[in-house]
Amino acid sequence: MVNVLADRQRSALSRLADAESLINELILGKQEVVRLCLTCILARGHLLIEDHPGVGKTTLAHSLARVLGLAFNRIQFTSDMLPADVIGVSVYDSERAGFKFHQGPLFKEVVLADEINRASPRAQSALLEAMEEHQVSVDGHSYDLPTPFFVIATQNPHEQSGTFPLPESQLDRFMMTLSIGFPSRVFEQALLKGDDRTTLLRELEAVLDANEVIELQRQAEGVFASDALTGYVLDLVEASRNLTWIDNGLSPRAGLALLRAARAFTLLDNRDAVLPEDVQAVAPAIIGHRLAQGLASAERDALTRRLIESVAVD
Amino acid sequence: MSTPGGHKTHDRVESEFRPVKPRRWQFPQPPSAPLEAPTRAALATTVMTVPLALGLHVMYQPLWLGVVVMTLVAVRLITLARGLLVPGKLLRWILTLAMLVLLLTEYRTIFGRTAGSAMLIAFTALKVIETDSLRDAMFLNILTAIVVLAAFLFDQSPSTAAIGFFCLALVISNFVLLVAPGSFTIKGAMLLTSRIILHGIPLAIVAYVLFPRIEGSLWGMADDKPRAISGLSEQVAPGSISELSLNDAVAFRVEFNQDRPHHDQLYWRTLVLDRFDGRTWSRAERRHEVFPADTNPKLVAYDMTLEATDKTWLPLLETPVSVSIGNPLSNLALGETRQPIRERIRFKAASVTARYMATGPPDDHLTDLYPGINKKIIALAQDLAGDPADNPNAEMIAARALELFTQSPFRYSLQPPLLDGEPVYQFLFNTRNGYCEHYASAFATLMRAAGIPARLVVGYQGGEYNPTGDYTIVRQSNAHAWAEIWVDGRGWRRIDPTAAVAPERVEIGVDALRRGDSLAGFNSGFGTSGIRNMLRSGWLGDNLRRIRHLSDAFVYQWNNWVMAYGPQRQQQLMKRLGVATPDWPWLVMTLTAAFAVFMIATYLLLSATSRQAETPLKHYRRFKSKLARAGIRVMPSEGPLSLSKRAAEALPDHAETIETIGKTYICLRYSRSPNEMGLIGLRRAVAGFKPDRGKFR
Repeated sequence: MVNVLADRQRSALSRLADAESLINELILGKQEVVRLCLTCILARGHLLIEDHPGVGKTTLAHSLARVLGLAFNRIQFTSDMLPADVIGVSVYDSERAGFKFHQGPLFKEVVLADEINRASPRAQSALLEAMEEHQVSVDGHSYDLPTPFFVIATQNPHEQSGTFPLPESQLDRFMMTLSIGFPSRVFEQALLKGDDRTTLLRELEAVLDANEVIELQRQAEGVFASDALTGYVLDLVEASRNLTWIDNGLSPRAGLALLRAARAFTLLDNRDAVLPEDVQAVAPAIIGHRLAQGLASAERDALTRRLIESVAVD
Repeated sequence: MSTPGGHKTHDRVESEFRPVKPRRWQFPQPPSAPLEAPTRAALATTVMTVPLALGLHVMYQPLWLGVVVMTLVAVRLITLARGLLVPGKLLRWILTLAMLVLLLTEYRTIFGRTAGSAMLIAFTALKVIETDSLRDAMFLNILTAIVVLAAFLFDQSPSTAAIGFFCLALVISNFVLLVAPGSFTIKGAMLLTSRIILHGIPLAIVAYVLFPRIEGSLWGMADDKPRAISGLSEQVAPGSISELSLNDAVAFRVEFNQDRPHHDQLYWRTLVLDRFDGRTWSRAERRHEVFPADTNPKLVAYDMTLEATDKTWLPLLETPVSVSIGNPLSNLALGETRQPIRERIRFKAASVTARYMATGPPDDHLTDLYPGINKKIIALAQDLAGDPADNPNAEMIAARALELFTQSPFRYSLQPPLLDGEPVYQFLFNTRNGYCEHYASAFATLMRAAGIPARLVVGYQGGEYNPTGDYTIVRQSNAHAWAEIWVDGRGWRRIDPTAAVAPERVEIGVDALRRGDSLAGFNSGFGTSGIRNMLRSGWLGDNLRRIRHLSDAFVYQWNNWVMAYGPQRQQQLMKRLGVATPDWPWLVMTLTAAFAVFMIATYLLLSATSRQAETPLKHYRRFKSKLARAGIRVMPSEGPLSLSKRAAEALPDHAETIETIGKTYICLRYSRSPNEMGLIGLRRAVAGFKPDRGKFR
C-alpha cells in the first residue's frame, strides 16, 4: 500500500498520482480506464460508461470520489422517475410561510447516474441540462451545483426493451464514453482472492480535496498546445468531415473537447506541452460515440483508429 | 525490424483513406506507387483533346484519316461513357495493320513531313482506343502534344499558333487531372493550368529569344512535296496573267520608308521578256546590256516582305537601284536571289522614279518579229510609223499606237475571249477585247514591226494600302504586264497600253475595277456576285475592309517579329545586349550555365523560405526517411514520441541519437518556448544519424 501520510507539502499533482495508484489497487488491471476517468474530471467533462452490470462501475465512481476527497451520490434511474427525483423539489414550509427547496441527489460533487437509459426522456434531460449549465432551476430560482461537479452516467448496451436511448444531442454533452470491460484472468483471480471491495472502499483515504481538484483543473487548462498541435486536432476534425464512411463529421465542440482532454491527459503524464500522442490517446473515448453511436464500442474503437491512421502527423 | 511487406500494407492504408485536403495551395504531388486509375473525366478530356490537335492537320491530310480518327475517338468516348471494355488484342492488331496498309497506299512511304505526320496521327488515334490505365493516358497525352507540334511543320501562322497554344494548354490541364485523380475539378485544373502557363511564359520568351537559331529553315527541311504556288511564270501567253486576276493570295507587302509613290507609279518589275514567238513571250538567253546608274532626283526606299514563290526573281519597284539580298541587280534592272525563295523573306530595296532607264544600245533581236506574222499587222505598224522621211520619234509612234487603242472599239476586260490562230492579229483586228497581256503583247509587236526595240515586262502594278499597318499589300491579282520601248539617246521607257485603254485599272487598281465588274453582274441577275457586291461597297464593305486590314496588319507584324526572328536578328540583338561575337558553343554554354544558376537560385530561395518556416519539420522528415531506409516501418499517423521510442527499441545501437532527435524535435515543435539553439542540435543529430551502417555491420 502506498504511503499516503498526509504530506501536504507535496504538490497536488504528485498526490494525484498517488490517488491514481490507490484506485488501481481497487479496480484491477484497468489502468487506462482509470487514467481516462481522471482525465475527464480534470478536463471538467462528464463521463458515460457503457458496460455490463457488475464490472465495477459503482466501485470506480465511488473510489474516485473517495480518493479525491469529493462527496459522492448514486442515483438509480428508473422508468417512473421524475425530474424532481433528480434535482430536488420545493416544499411548503408552514413555519416560514413559504416554499423551501430540498436539494435532490444531484447536489454532490461526484454523481453516479446508474442506468440512465431506463429513465424517461424528461428525467434524462433534467440531469443533462443540469450537467450543461452547472445549476438547477426550480420555480424560478437557480441553485448552483457544487464545484467540482462530475457525473458518471452508465447505460447497459444490451438491454434494449423498456429503455430510452440517449439522443445524439444529449450524447454530445458527455465528454467521454468508456467501457470498462471484463478484467483479464490474472486480475480476476486477484479479485477473487482479495478482500471485499466494499470494505476496501470504506478504508480508502482521501488524498486530495475539492479545492485541490479545482486547482488541478486550472493547471490542466494551462498546459501548452502549440500551433502544430492544434493544427493536428483540426486535421483530425476535418478528416472526419471528409470521410465517406462516416455520416456526420465532428462538431467544433468535439474538437474543443479533444483539445481539453488532451491537455488534462498531458498533465496526468506530468508533461507541460501536449503531443499528438496525447490527442491520440484520448481520441477514441471522445470521438467514438460522436461519430457512430449505433455501433458496439469495439467497432467504434476500430472506426476511430482508422480515422487517426488516415491523418498524417509530424 | 520490419519487412518490405510492412511498407506494402502501409501504402494500402494510405491509398484507402484519402488524405486530408492540403490546407495551403501546393503543386499536386505525383502519387506514390502503385499508380491509381485515372478518373473518367480525366480520361474523357484526354481523349477529346486528340481531335482538337487533329484539327490543325486537317488541311494537309487526306479526308479519310480525319474520318478514321474521329470514329476511333467517338468509339472510345462511347465505351467510356457506357463503361464498356477496351477492344481485345486481336482487334487492335487488325486495326493497326489496316491503318498501316491505308497509310502506305496513300503515301507509299512513311518518311517525310506529310506521311510522317499522318503516321503519328494514325497511331495516336489507335492509342486512344486502348487507353484505359493512367500510364496509357499519360502516354496518349504526350502523343497529343507531339501531334500539335507537328502541325507547325506545315504552318506557323498566328491562327495555328493560337489553336496550338490552346491545345497544349488542354494537354497540361489533362496532366493535372491525370496526376492528381479526384483532387481537381475540370475548372480547377484549368485554373492551375493557366497559372502554370503564366509562370512558364517568361522562360519561354527567354528561350525563344536566346536559343541559338539555325541558319536556314528548320521546318523546310522535311518538305517532301513541292508546293504549287501560283504566281508569275517565266512565260507569258494570252490568259496567263488574267488567270491571276481572281487570286487574292498575298504576293508581298511593302513598307515605304517615306511617302508612298502615287498608285500609278507603283510598277513592280519582276521579269523582262524579250523573245516572242507569236503567242508566248519568253526570256532570251543572251543578256549583255549594261545598266549605268541614272542620275535622278527622287529616291524611294522600302522594306519588302515577299511570300514564298519557289522562284528566284524579286519584284522591285521601277527603277531599282539597290537591293539588300541576293545577287546585285542585273543589267535588266531586275533583282534575283541565288536560291529559289521557299520561305517568306524580308529585305530592303531602293528605287528611283525615272522616266527613262539609260542603258547601252539594245540588241538587234529586240526588233525581231515572229515568223509568219500577218501582213496586216506590219501594214498597221508602218501606218503608225508614218513616213520614214519625217524621222519619227519612237515616243511619237508609241503615242499613236496608244491613241489607236483608245479610239478604236478596244475594250479592256477581265474575262477576254479566247484567241486562236495568231493571237496578236486576232486581238488587233477581230476581238479587240483583252486584258493587260493582250495589250502589252500587241503593243510590243506593233512597235517592233515599226522598227522600235520593244520588250514585255511582267510584274505587279499597284497594291492595296493598309492604313492600319501603314504598308501596301500587293496580291497575285495585281499581276500585270506592260511594255518597254527603246528611245534613242535616252534609254528604255515604260509604256503601259492598259493605262491608255483603262486608266482606272492603273488609277484605282484592279480591286476597285472588279467591284465595278460585279456591279454589272448584279444588274444582269441576282446571285452571289450581288451579295459580294454588297460586301465590297457601302458601309458594311468599309467595315469589313477595316477588319481585314486589321487582321492583315496583325499577320504582318507576326511575320515580322515572330517568324522573321532568325540568326541575323538574333546576332543583332546579342550585339545590342553587349555580346560582340556570339557563337554557337559559347551561346549554348552560357545558356546552360544561366539556366543552372536560375534553377539553383530558385531551389535555394524556396528552401530558404521553408527553412525559416518549418525547419524542425524538415529535419524530422529526413530522420523519418532515414528510419524507413533502415527498415523501420514509419506510420504517417504516428506521433514523434512513440516513433522515437519504438525506433530506439528497434535500433538499440542508435538509441541515444534517436532519443536526442525525438526530444529536441518535440521541444522545438510542441513546447511553449522552443530553444532556438535546439535547431542546430537537431540538424547535427539527424545528419549524424546513420542507421544504414549499423544494418550491415
